[in-house]
Parts: sequence; structure tokens; C-alpha cells
Amino acid sequence: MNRAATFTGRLTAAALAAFLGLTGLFALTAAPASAAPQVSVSGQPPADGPGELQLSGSGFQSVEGGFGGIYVLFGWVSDPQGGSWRPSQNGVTGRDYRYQYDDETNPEGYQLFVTFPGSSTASAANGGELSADGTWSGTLKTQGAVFDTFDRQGNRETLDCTQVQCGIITIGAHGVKNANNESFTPVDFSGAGEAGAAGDDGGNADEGEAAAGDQASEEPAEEAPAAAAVPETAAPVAAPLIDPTSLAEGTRMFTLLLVLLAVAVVLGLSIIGLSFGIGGYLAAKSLLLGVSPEALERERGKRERRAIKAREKRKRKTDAVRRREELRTVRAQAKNSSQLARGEMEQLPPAAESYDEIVRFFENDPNTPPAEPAYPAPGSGAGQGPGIDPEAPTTVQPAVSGRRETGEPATAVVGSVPADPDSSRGDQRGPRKETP
Amino acid sequence: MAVSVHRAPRRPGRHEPGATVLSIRDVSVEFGEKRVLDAVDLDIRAGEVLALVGPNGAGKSTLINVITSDVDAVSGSVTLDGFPNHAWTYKELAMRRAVLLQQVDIAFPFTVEEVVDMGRAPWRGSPQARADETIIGGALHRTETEQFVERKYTSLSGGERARVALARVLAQTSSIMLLDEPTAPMDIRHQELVLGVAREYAATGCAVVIIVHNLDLAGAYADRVAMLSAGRIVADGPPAEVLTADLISRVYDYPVRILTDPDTGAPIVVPVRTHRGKTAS
Repeated sequence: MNRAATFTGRLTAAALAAFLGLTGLFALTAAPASAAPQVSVSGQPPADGPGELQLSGSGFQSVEGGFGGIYVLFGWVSDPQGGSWRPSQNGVTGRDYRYQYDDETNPEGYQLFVTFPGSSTASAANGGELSADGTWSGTLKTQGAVFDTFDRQGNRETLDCTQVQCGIITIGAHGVKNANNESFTPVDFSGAGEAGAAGDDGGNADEGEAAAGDQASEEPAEEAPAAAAVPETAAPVAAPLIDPTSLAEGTRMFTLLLVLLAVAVVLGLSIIGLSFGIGGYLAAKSLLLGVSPEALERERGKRERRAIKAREKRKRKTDAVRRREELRTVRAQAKNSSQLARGEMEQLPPAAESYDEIVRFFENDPNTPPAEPAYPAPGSGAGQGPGIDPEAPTTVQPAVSGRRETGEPATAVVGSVPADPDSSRGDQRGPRKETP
Repeated sequence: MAVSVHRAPRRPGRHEPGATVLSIRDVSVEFGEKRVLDAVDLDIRAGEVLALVGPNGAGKSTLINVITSDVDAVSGSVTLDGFPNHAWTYKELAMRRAVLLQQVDIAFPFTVEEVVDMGRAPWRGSPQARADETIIGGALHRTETEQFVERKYTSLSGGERARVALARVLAQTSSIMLLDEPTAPMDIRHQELVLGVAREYAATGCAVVIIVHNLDLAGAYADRVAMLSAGRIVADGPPAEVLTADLISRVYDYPVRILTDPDTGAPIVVPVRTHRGKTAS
């Protein structure tokens, strides 16, 4: 008997699993091609008491290390089809959407916080992680069809899901508006009729969800929570889960004010102390001067030294100015005289040049004394003097190679150009080319 | 017919040995409040090696800077080739005086040949440019830097760089060669080499002014020695007259003794050293 029961049980479980898989697949395939967020709900919450829903999301936007994640809430939205309830469309809680309350400090699971991976507030996530492929899963507790909701100011309002269509709401967590993660998935209660308008809003086109919800009520996987009472909806002690930023803001302002106050107090005290100290010192000084002649002398000496220093400084400044002026006049005078001199200079004829001795200096090998002058006067004529006449046209002369010790052609004989210009190294310039 | 508005530079002529090529008259230089040179009179003559000596801070380098117009004198005049310094154009100045400063660094990796070639720059376009090859080769040969011809200047040692810089200055073939401590980084052999080159260069009819710290070198190679102390010229004459124990001890503030070189008769300056613990022989 037992065996049969176990076998039936297993069979049911297998069928259930297969069915779930199919619906999941159906959910996926029925989804639009874009990455619109979808939530698949398994189970139908009981209308008259607490319940639990298994949720799995897909097509959400996950931001690695991003701030926050998504909130998964259960409640009502004002405009499921149009989407004007969304925070990204400036929808506000209380007016455009309302949801089950959960104690922020000790959450029971009526709201889920699915965190972005690596986020700073990941430790508070009771809904797991929103993985990189945009999927998440979690268990959301329900309070029944009628429950209390609170807006930002803490005003309580009762929501009756038998009169309006309720469902799973997802929005960006911690007040971060993200249209890619906003969705509304209608959920019907078991034991209550369909209420309100057809549920889907634009981002959630999955009809199969509702069917899956209905069918899954057969499965034994749902456990009825032991506690039947709806959790005591005490007045919220803190602001609703969605407003940590304004709280932080307030705290920061307060700390700043405190710090400023402390600084002002310290400053005031130090000023008072300083004035006492200076006053006391001055009083003592005048007292002393009146009493001791040495102190008087010292004071006089100090004053004199100070006067001397000031005088020296003034003197140095005037000296510097005077020096600058002198230099300026000297320069101007030099310029004038140089211009005059240049004029005189230009009147003179060009000087008689003699470059041979210098060139000889460079030609002579200091280690081997030349047997005879290796460098004859250019032109080799009696007519020309020892120097070259720069005005005379250059004469082309054969290289006087025979007379040099080394036997090299005298390629750099000043005043003459070897007959074959190509043989001379580097002598590319034409005769007498004065480059301007 | 094109009219050239740019006049050709006036090239220097030949000087008789002993003729004054540069004269400094009553030059004073002030850096702020400090009087660095005070009423200095100096003549630089062709065919002569003039050694400028003096303790650190006496004003030797400043004097060179005055000659090259790198600092302004508050009073006095510098006359080059019969005309004031400012009357010459830069090219004309470069043909007349060449300076080798203590710092011989070059920023770019030129080869040694290129560096020496830089010395020929003022002569570009003139007939003297024909002798470029000879002069560059001769300069390298004289300073014993031929083996470095293709090497980068920046890869040489301090002493080698100094010799190449000297070769550049030689290649400039100017009437006056001013050398500011050219032998500072060099060994004995090259010190003698450099001074010998300076003497031979002067013998061609040029003037050489050389600042040395080594008084022995001054005594051995200079025709004239001018001693500077605290911005004033305290002595100016042949080495035998200037390099006396009395004057040197006073100016350098250290006792010295003068010996005579057995070969040349030139004065050798020996500081008096008394070592503790050693018996005087």
C-alpha cells in the first residue's frame, strides 16, 4: 500500500515538474522579443489569510556593482496597461501604486529586495541576487486579499484586492527609477473572483502566467504558513522601505550643523583666550618698563635696530633703482657710440687678409717637421702679395700635389680651385659665392 | 642689376706680432651690490699667450664674459680691432674672437665631426671656407681626437669632450682665442698638448687668452701672466715677474715656494706643506 502511495506521489511530483517546466518554457516563448521584465508566479495566494508565492523573474536589467537592485512588492497599480503608475513616469506610492507593508528593520518577506550583484546594500537582500542574465527568483509572502498599505507620509489605507486587480509589482530599489525593471503582473486570489480590469501592463504580455497560476494551485508544494493572523500593522516606526535617501540627507545635515557649532565654540574661546593673553603681556611690559631701566634700554635698542634695518632696506632699493638707470644709460651710450663707430668703420677699406699662416698651422703635422714649406703661396706669382685679394676673381689652378710630403692633392688650397671639382671632397661651393 | 642691401662681413686682417687686438679700459662690473670687476685695464696682443690667473671668485670668468659681451660693464670700454665691441656684427665678432667656456655640454647627440664643423660657421660663404676640410682635419689631429671622428659627442668622457670642444674653437680660426680652464678635466699628457697647441696657434699671429688654475702651466707656456684678485688686476707681466712667492702667497692666501724648472727655467709653484709627525728632511 505504501509503495503504491509513494509511487503515486513520485508520479505526481514528476508530472508537476514537467508541467512547471512547460509553463516556464511557454512563459519564455510567449514573451516579446525585447528584454521586457517578466515575472512568473506559481501558486495562488489565499484570500482569507497569509500565503506564499514562488516568483521567478526574467528579462530584468542587472547592473554589476550597481546601487540597489529591484523591489518585488505585492499590491495594486493605478494604470496597469498604460504604465503611468511607474516611478519612471513619475508615479508615486500611495497615489499610483500601493503595496503590502513590511517592517524594514525586521522584514518578514512581504516585500522582496533582489540585489544587483556586488552592490553595496547586498547584505539586506532577502530576495537573492539579480543575476547577470536578468533572472531572479524568490518567495513572496502574502497577507490575504485585504491588507493595509502606507504611503510616504505614513498614511494608512486599506487595499481590497477583491475590488481591484492586485499583483506583483517590481520597481527599482532604493528610489532608483529604472523603467527596465518596472513591471506589474496581475495575480488572482484563490477563493475570490476575478476583480478589476484585465491585469497586464505594457511590459508584461504573458497570458500564460494566469493559467499557470490557476493550475499550480493543485500542487502540494505550497505550504500554508502556520500563523494565520495578518501581521499587526502597527504604525510604521520609520519611513517606508523606499526612502532611505531622505533619511540619510537629514542625518547629514544634522551632523554638519553640529560640527559647525563645535568649530564656532572653539574659535570663540580661542579669541577670548588670545585677547586675554595679549592684554596681559602688554600690561606686564608697560609695568616692567616703568620699573626697570635695563628693560627700557633693551626696548630702545630694539627700536633703533628696527629703524636701521628699515633704513638699510630703503637704501638698497634706491641703490638698485639707481644701478638699473645707470646700466640703461650706459647701454644707450654704447649703442650710440657703436653706431658712430660703425659709420667710421664702413669708410675704411677692407683689411688685408692673410689666412695662409693659419691654414698652415692646421696642415702641419706636429710630429713630423716638414722638410720644405708644404704650402706655397697661392698664385705662385711675384705679383700677388702673401695675402689673397678678396676682390680678385678666383683663378683655377691645377692641384699642387707634387710638393706635399703626403702626396695628397692639396684640395683646400685657399684661393684656387682644383681643375676637377668632383675630386675635391666637400668643395661643392662655386667660386666667390657670398651667401647673404 | 640686383642691389645687395646686406653688406658682407668685414673679415679680420693680419696683425703684427705684438699689436693690440683687444683692449679693456677701466671696466667695472657689478652684480647687484657686489663689485665683481673694479677698474680693470688689460691689453691682449697678437702672437702672445696671456695667462689669466687668480683665486676662485676673483673675476676671471667675468672678465672673459665682458670681452664676449655676455655681461654689461657699468663703466669702461672694450675695444676690438680698433672699434668698440658693439660696433661689430655677430659674424664679424665670431671671426675675431672664439670662446671656450668651462661647460662643454651639448644637448643633442652630434658626432664629433659635426661639432668641430660648427666652429667653421662664421666663415660660411667666404673664401676662407675653402679650407674647411683641412682645418677640421687639422684641428682633430692636433687635439688627438681623430679617433673619435664618427662617435657621438655625448658618448665621450669629460677630458675627450674638452679636447673636441677645443678643436671646435681652433677650427673657428679667430684672431683671439679665449679659453676658460680648458685643461681642468685633462690628464698630464693632454694638458701639455693643449698648452702646446695654444702656443703654436698664437705663433701664427693670433692672440690666446687662457685661464688656468695650474700656475706651473702658466709659468711654462704663457708669454704674459695677469693675476686677478678680488676684481682687480694686481700684476701683469712676464711669468718670472708675476709668479713670485710673495705675491702668490698673498693673493691665494696660502704659503708657496718657487722653484725653477731645470729644463726651461720656468717658475714652478710649490705649496708649503708641513706634515705633522714627519721629520723635515
